[in-house]
Amino acid sequence: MTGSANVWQEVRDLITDRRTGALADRVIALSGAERAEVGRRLPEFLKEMRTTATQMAREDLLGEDESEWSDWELAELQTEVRWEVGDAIAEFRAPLLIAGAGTISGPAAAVAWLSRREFNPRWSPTPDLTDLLRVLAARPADWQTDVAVRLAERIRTTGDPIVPLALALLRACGCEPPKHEPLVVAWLSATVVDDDPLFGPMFPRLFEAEGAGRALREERLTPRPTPWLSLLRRLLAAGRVSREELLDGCVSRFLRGGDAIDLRFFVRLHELVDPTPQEAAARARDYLRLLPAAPGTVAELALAQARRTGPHDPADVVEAIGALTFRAEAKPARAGLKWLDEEVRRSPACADELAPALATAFGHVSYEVQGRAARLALKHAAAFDTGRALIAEAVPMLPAALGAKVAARFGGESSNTYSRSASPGMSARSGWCPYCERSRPGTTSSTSCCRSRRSGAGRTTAVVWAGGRRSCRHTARSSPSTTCPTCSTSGTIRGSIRIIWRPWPRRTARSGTRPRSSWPTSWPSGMRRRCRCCCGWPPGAICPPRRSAASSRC
Amino acid sequence: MTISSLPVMTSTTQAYRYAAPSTLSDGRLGLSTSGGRALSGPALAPKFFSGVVTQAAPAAAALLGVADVALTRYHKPRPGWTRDPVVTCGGDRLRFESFSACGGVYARLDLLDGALDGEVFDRGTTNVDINGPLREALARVGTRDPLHLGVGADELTVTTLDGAVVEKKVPLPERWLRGFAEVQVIAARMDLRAELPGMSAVRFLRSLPKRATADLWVALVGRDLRVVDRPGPGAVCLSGVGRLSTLLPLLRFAKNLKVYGPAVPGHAASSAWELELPGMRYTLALSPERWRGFSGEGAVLTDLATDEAEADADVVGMLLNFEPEVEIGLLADRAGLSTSRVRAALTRLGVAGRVGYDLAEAAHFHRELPYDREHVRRLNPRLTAARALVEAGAVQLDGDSARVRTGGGVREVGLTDGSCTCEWWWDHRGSRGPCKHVLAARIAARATVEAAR
Repeated sequence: MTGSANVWQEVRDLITDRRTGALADRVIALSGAERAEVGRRLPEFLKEMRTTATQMAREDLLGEDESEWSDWELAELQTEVRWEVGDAIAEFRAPLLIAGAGTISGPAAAVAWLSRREFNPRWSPTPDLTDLLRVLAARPADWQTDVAVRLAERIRTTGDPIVPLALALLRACGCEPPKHEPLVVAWLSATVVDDDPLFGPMFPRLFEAEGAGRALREERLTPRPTPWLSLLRRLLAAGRVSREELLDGCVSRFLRGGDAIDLRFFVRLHELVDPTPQEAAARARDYLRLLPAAPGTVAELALAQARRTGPHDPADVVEAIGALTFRAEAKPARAGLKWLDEEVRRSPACADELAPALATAFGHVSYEVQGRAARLALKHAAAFDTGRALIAEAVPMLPAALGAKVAARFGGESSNTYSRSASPGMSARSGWCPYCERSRPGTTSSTSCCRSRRSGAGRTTAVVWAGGRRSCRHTARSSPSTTCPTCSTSGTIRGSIRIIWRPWPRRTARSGTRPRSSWPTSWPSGMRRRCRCCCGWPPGAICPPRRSAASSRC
Repeated sequence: MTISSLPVMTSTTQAYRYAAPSTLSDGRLGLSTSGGRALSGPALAPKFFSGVVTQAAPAAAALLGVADVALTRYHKPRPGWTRDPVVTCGGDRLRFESFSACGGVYARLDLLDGALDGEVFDRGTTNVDINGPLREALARVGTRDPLHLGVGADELTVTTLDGAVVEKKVPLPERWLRGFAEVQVIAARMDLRAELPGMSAVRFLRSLPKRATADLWVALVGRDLRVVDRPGPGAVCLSGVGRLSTLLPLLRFAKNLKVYGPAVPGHAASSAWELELPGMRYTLALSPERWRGFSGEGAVLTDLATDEAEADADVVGMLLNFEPEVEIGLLADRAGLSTSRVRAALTRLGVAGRVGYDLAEAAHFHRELPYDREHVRRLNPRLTAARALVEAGAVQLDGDSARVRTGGGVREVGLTDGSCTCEWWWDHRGSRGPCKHVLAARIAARATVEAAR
């Protein structure tokens, strides 16, 4: 008994002296009974340390008499006492961890000790783990494996203070890492280790774990590959990972979905592998399926691979072109139209099947895509048969000028600029004037009144949407004034050639415009358009860039 | 029952046990089921449906959406535990429900009569397994691919059921479970705010800011939805635009978008977004703010605080029968209760996870969440705290007001307007339901009225 008491005193002194090297040697040299004794005494010792530290901090901060502090001061000081105690314990964390790792017999209890928040404060740098690992390596192999797996399963985020220890322990004992996604992400976020024993079991999980792509989002190939990509390139060159593995992993990751940032790493990895036409052809169907819903960069990559392979199943091609013209971005939509053009030229019989894709492109937000779609419709007009009706139906989605041309060949009603900005439903209600109805209840007005106004002015005028509100345009024909006589709102003339639709407040644009009070009170009657180079100056005012009267042409 | 729930403080552990992983091969989608409840009672691996999905691509894409919501943590994204979606077979339709890991987004896919052609074996609710390879396979489904759907074990796998192959254990936080149940009660109080045809819906959803954390308001201007910078009449709160991201891959099938919001606008509130697809509906409900879950909204505390609804809920609960649409009038006739009492009982059942709410039909539907529901109801912390206050005799009634003694001082409670002088009330002003002092005062006041009788 005295022997084990002496041992405990010895270990205790080493802990309080913070001599980690000597402590590690001593702990490794302990016999079974001594080990159990030290392990039993450790929690008591920690409690004792905490009590002492609390007493010292209280005496230091609160003084002898606590009653002299008010309630709120006392509450603040209590918090400070807790901080002080935390700091004091953290000072001894390295020796305490070593002592616990070397003596606690149950793996669960050991993991609980190793991952105590007190020993792993968030703000501290990673401690030197050499002694701790030396002590852990001296324990039985089963115990080590059990502790390594349990510790790895405790990881929640990449920033967890236990991550370095958990990874080092997994590497040291060479066991199979547990299937735990935060572990994969933590492994990827840590520094790349050459000849990492974890690489074998963890590599396939790189493509499966949620958050893996996000952890590697800053990896890039240019100007020179960053750690993970360069490691994978080296391994690929050395033949330790196969091209198939990487390509299949990337494609399955793309199919599982995620946003552009989640998938950015895999796009770059795909770029690194650069599949051959044969490899791409083997995955052609997967690439085609990625076209409709994958993020822009992935869809672009999939399109490039799909276009260099082929021929594809005609029905798959129709689906792919439809998916491309439906995409919000202009680039894939243009690529889809190009593909459509090629297909129709190759076999005019398939034009009718492709008519829905073309009609979809009519409604695209990009004017260029609309123009290209309209030109294609006119170019291949003869090839369409049953698709004519579909195209004619979609004509109102085109801008007026393009719509008129297409309508001349296919029929259908061309739209005007108003209904382009408004919803399709709006144009259907031709008797409803979008400008007068709400602000002037009781007056009968219709689209024709606006049309006559437009034709009367001889120009196309429209409304600027700002912050989702229409500015009044009743004053467009009368002399401008600060208050609109018709609807009693502050009337401003905001004419422009096309309708500018802004879905949310134009903060940046508006801050650049001049306050209304500085606008001139009389305007030249023939000029309706806004000067566009200085954004916000009404016609007739002096345009600063041109130093002359602003006009629609400047 | 294969569900074992071990209470650990405010979290239980849910164990899903599947006979086999869900698979999709050769156009046959087999969804494995875990323990749940069918018409006949608790079931080990219930079999609900087998048949053809006539709209393969939209169904696969929408199922992926539901699975994505279950997988995602929208606020402070990080990998972690995910809970499997819940499927309910209501006779003529299948409903897949999931709840995000952050507890702020609820998704439901209703596969209606028009999209299903097959045989219904039973009605009930259970969990379905969703795994990585299945998600890949669902993403590969094209418009013309045939899709056969089986919910529940086939005869083939029944024989090997004794040894469950797939086992998943996930912690089930109380706030997550409560949010999942409570979202139904919140949805039941929403009104239709806007309806957009396909192309307008596409244009609107694509025009939303790309920043996922953007908070904004959406209002109907003319016949289009517009983003506005402040709440106004009829405006719907959209907090965290990125939480609508699962709608975007479905836009190519969209026929219609409906937006629902609560009746009283003015402050951050929940909203629901319903996309009509051919033969199916995909609904997303968002919590008032990105970082706020659905639990703790306190929408139901007033109903829960009364004991009269308890007995009503038992009666009404027995009449539900996994009906896809619960008609309140019919239920009132059968139960012999007034419609208002049936409504209160349905609220209570909703909190217990026993009914859901379908906004498009404006009707409740029966489903029994396959979780430990008693645990949820028992541990409603604000209500528990209020009852503790009453039991401790901390409430002193004084006409229309009350004084509640707490550790932090005495709180003055106004019984008529439900106001209080505590910090919590000062922060939230009733936007998250009554505080524990108001609840305690109301419980005490009711007890006095009953005693006087």
